[in-house]
Amino acid sequence: MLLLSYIKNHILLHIASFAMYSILLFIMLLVIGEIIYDNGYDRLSIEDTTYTFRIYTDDRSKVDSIVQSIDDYSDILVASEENDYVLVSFLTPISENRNIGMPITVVNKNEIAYLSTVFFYDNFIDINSPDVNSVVVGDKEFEVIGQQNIQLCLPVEIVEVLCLNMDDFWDVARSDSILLSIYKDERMSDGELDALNKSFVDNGITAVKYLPDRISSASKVMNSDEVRLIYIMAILSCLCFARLTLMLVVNRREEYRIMRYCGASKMIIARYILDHVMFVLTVSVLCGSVLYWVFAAFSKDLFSYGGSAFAFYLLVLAGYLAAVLVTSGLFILAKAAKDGY
Amino acid sequence: MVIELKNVGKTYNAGKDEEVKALSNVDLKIGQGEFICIFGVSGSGKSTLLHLIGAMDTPTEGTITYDDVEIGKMKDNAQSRFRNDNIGFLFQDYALIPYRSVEDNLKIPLYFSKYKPNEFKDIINKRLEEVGMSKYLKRRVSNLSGGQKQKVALARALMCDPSVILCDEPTGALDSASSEEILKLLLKVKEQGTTVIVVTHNKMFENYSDRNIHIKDGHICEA
Repeated sequence: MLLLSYIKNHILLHIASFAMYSILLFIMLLVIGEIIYDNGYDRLSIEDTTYTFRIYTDDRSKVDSIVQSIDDYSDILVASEENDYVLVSFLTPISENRNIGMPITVVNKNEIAYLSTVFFYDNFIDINSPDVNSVVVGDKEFEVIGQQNIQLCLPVEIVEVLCLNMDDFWDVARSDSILLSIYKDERMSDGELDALNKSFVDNGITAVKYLPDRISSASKVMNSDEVRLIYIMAILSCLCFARLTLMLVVNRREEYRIMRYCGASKMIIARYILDHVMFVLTVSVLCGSVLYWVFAAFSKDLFSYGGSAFAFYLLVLAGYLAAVLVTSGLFILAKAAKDGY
Repeated sequence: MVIELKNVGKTYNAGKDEEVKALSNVDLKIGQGEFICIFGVSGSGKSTLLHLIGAMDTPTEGTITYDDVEIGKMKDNAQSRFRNDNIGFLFQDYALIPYRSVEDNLKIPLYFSKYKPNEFKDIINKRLEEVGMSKYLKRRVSNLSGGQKQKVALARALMCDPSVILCDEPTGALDSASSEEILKLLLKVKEQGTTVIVVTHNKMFENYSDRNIHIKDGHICEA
């Protein structure tokens, strides 16, 4: 009976919380989501996020067409031939924990040379003064004919692009193939991969070799950013919970006073408060879980970089509890206004 | 049930700068079925006395006994049980949960009582009938008038068939017609053998009580 009475008395609160939470989550996805992305949250290893395809064709227009078709994905950087030079891209390190970059993939006399980030930096790039005049692969020196900074859609990630002389490149490249290297900051979503594969088919390219086969074994390494984020979320959750407890105890003091007059012992009241807090928390967790699974099920693309479900769930829970508190506050204010305070 | 207060005193913040002596040297004996009114100006210690008699607080000096059982020495659990079994409260502000129904409010003392849930309905109906509020069972308390709220509060006070009803300004927020109704109900309760102790400013009670007690600066003087 007490449970039914509680649900009856609080259903409006939870409906309002859900509505407000949906708005908050939407804003959160727009704002915090990008921050998570930008902070390298749960970033996959480089090999898992670089997509290299060897396309057996000498028709560059087809490649141009492919590049065009996936250009809509503004956070994808495509390294391919453009005009008379090839773009070899790498990420510029921004802070200590972002010393990751993109492996350079160069065709070298019928061989594919994967240059690790470390190798690349050690051999070609001085991080502190990234002025490079030439890049040597094997015994072949590529002349650097230009240097560009490309700012992606993200606020701080800057990709430096070395422009290598195309004639030099073709000297070492296979004449019957074009190497298309696609770099993305995290794993491609199913939608993105589908779009890419479709663009191959649409351009009549069927002989595509998908070079890195490690995509399925993506390693989700807990990095320091993620740990920090989980800490922040845990603290937020604790703050929300503490505030909720305070609200239930303080705002219901009158109810507890009445219970005391009616013969409730201090122990009974303490148990009642605890039951109440636990119940609100359970309801919040359940609602949070439902929301998480709904969003995860219907917005795969949106959460393709979401990473750790647990961490994200904590964020969802904290958000929901915050929404409950805000809504409760609004209810109290509305009631106070109605009562003429 | 005979209530006896011997040399009862209550001091708040004892030994501190803000020390307040609310009551001192109170001796009082109240017999079963008496109707007693306690008068006094604000801050004279009336409500403190009522709280001490109602086992909501413990005296810093003296003893309070109900039929020779000292309630001050009881543990909180036993004191609460005693309160539930023997004492009903009535307040100026009704002390009802406004967003709950009359029924929900009346159930509160029953949750802590010896009664079983299947007995609740009959007890509630009986008490509501006694105060003439039967048709308001499902009504939210916030939708009742002041007089109706006080009747519901009285029904709740009577819920566990107490021996004593303690009233703190029961008509303080009511118009004269509602005040008379509450007085009549309290007299009816008294006729059934329940002790009624009323702290009030309302002189109307003076004429109906068995004894009028005046309290001043924490000291009691029987009229």
